Amino acid sequence: MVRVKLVNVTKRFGDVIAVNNVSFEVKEGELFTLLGPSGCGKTTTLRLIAGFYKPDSGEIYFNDELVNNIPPYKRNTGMVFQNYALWPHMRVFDNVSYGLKLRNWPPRKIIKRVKEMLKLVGLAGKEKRYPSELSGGEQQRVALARALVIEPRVLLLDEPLSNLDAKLRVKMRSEIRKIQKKLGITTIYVTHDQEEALSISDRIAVMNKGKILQIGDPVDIYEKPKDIFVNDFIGTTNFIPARVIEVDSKARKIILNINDQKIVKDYYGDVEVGMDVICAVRPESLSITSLSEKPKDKPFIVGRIDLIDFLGKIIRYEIETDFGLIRVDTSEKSLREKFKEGDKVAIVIEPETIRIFTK
Amino acid sequence: MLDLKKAIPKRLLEEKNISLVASLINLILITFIVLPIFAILVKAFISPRGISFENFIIFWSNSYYREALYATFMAAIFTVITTSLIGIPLAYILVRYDFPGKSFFSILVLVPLIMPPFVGALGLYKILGISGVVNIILVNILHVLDKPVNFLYGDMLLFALSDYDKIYLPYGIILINTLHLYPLIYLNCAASLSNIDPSLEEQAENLGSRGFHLFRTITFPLMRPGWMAGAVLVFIWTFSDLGTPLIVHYFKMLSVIVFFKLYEITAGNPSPVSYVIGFIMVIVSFITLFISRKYISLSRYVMMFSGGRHVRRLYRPSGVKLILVYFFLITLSLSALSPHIGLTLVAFSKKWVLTLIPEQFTLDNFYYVTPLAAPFIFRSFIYSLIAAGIDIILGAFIAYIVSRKLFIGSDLLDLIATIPLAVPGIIFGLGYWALFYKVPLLDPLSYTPIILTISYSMRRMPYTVRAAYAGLLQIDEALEEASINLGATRMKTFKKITLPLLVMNLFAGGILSFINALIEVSTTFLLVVTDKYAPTTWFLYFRALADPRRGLAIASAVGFLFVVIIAVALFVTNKILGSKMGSVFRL
Ligand SMILES: Nc1ncnc2c1ncn2[C@@H]1O[C@H](COP(=O)(O)OP(=O)(O)OP(=O)(O)O)[C@@H](O)[C@H]1O
Ligand SMILES: [Mg+2]
Repeated sequence: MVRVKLVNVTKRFGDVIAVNNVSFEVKEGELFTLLGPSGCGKTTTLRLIAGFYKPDSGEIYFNDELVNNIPPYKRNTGMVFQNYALWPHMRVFDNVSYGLKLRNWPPRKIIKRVKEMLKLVGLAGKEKRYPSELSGGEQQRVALARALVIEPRVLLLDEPLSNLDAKLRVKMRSEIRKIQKKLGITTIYVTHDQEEALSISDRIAVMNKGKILQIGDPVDIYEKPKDIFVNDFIGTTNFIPARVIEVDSKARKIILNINDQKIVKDYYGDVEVGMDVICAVRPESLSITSLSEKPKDKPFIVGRIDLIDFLGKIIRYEIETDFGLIRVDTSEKSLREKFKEGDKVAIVIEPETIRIFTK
Repeated sequence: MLDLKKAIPKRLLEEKNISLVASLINLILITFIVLPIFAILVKAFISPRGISFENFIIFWSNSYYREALYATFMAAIFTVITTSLIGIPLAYILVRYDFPGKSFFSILVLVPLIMPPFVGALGLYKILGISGVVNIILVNILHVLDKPVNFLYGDMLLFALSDYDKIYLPYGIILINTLHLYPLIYLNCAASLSNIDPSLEEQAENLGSRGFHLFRTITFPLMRPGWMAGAVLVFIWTFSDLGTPLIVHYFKMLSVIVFFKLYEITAGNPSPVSYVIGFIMVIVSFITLFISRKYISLSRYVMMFSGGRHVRRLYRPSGVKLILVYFFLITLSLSALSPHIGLTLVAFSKKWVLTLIPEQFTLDNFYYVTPLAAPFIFRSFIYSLIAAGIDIILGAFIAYIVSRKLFIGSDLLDLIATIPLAVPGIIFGLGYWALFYKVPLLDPLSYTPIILTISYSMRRMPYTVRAAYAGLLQIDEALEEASINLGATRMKTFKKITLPLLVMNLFAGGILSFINALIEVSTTFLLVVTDKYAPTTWFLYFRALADPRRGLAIASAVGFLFVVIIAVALFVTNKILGSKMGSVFRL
């Protein structure tokens, strides 16, 4: 088992800086996720670790060994490609045993080991199938088994679930996590799906435009996003503009004006009086009341209900306000009868749930 | 509503017309492609004493025929091996490596395509023949050999099954065909290779594979469909080729036996042995095609996967590797060019005896041969033009019917229209004798021009069908877009885009049909009996080359004209078809 460390790694393609000065360390046995929108450099980072690209600058270590100049076929990583890259001319057995044959395992041991591995991923008995005779989920498992069977030092997964339907995605991601924990293998997981990242990871690195914006465990990333991009990318967020009207640098408090109402917040950043800032609030942190019932001591925004979306456990209200569309989630069933689309309501903001970002 | 009412009867009418045309086309194709093949298959079993295996027994009990059968198989198998040994590395180098001069070599290695193979054999006379340059170097300059060797004619005993069953390897034929046919393997392999999803190979590297192991276990299996397609073409070609064995005087080949037995047919007593050979050729072609189909269909699921970014695998070789690449490419290009060089030198030489290059150059050969060849060239052009015209018309209809799946028989039509790709010219010639001998208007003996033109057009029809089909597939998309965006101007789009595109494609396919009809040897030699109706290829072999005084020189002059015509024609088609050009040489 191995630690993976990237130090100031940069990779350019012509004018595009695909990976820009990226550093992180993945602990032994950890499931570490690279999360970010399309084109942000996740795959490139993964391919740098697998050895398909050489960094233009920076170092990559497996434990304390510098691997920059080690070719991919000697790195002993197990990669699962986004499209699975199953060899169509080989049966499942031959696909999975490929790496073992290369490592000169005796045939008897290979058969045994492949069997175990297929059982682990739930494909026992499918050895003789060709990839084209398997469903998408099964293909994905073959790819996983093929990467795992060689006991790689690091497992690299590039959006392994993106070709599956929604239900299968949820099922497979918990299976991947179970298998990963069972084998205790250091894993780097790439996805652009924030929900998947939050559910599967030990730690997450959020990337944008080739840079890492924040690294942390899922709870941290969700609750304390350091960056407006991270806040927006992870979960659903409402952004409400505000202005700083007082700064108390001793007590590290500021007073903001939201919708002509004052709120007091702790703040550590670089702000001054008169500055425009953005308040980020999650839909589940907001609540709605009728105009007459709104509390006196909390800031609120008035709007008209545009859409009521019943999402199962929760109800989402999309409310048209002076600050644009604001989304409010609630699980209170009683509200269902209370408001209709088109009703005027007050959105109540809990000051402590607001996160402030400078522009 | 009104529009609908008007449209329905019109459409019905259209469909009725189309199925009428389709039936007519089916009738033509069945008469001139399917039935002749059947006639051979049937006649192989008909002997003076009724239906029996007697003809096969006659064939088999003659050791000369048996040896020809072995030699023919050996020629075909070994040519597949040698062309693969050249074509596969060539494809790998030109697709995967990046080095200075790459595009130059990419064109140069295709020069064999601009030379009809039997003309190529002619061009090699003075290079590899008994008095050729190679022999002069080996015997007179380097003194490696005591006496010259004819590299073109020779064969070699491979092994003897018994005193009467000796398996010979006709290396001369193999050598010539290799030089001519390796581009078929190269083009097909290159197409497959550049279609391989890079992640399939990266995955193998990730698991520890590299170098030749990677090629053997992943890369080659994935390009095998392309290789198979090329190999089938090479195999069938060599198995049934008539021109090359005739030119180098190597007669122990099945095709040559059919050719020499022809006089028995024209003399009124059909030669059962010819039909047995025809039977063997048909079966071999169909089996080869069938086997390859199974593998070729694999290509469909190779591309089953999608998603993921394609990072093209391109290497820059350096050091020893780069030197080896250049060595391979230069050697190959020189070998591929040697027939052209030989042919040109002979065609323009005054006298060329025992020197490395001719001592004097002249245009005399052209002056001498042109008046003699003129009527033959004229007939060639007429036959080939009419055949190409027929192909253009048939091609347009067949492609249209097949691509739009207009009626139930369209799949059958598709199938029949592909048969000429796999069935050798010998079969057409023999089949037409079997079926149309003494049939009014179609008898090869008295109506040679008609049946010859028909045979040309049937043989080369796949070119126009495929070219038109490619065009129609493209037009479909364009029309869809147009009808979505512009609605009203659909008719205009049709006139402005559809028609010209289709016409250009048909024209390009027609040119290919035309030049291939022009250089057609096997059906020509089989169907033409007197020089009254003979085209140029016939003249080249039976008149020019047979001239005792300057046969080689004037035959080369005619061959040179062929090369010029083909080069021009291919240049024009390439301009029209662009990157789709390659698909014409694929299966
Ligand atoms: N081989 C390449 N050549 C040129 N540019 C590349 C190459 N690979 C990636 N890029 C560019 O680098 C940037 C990062 O690409 P990368 O594939 O790492 O993104 P990604 O985060 O994996 O995106 P996705 O979620 O779409 O897979 C993109 O702008 C991309 O266009
Ligand atoms: Mg990616």
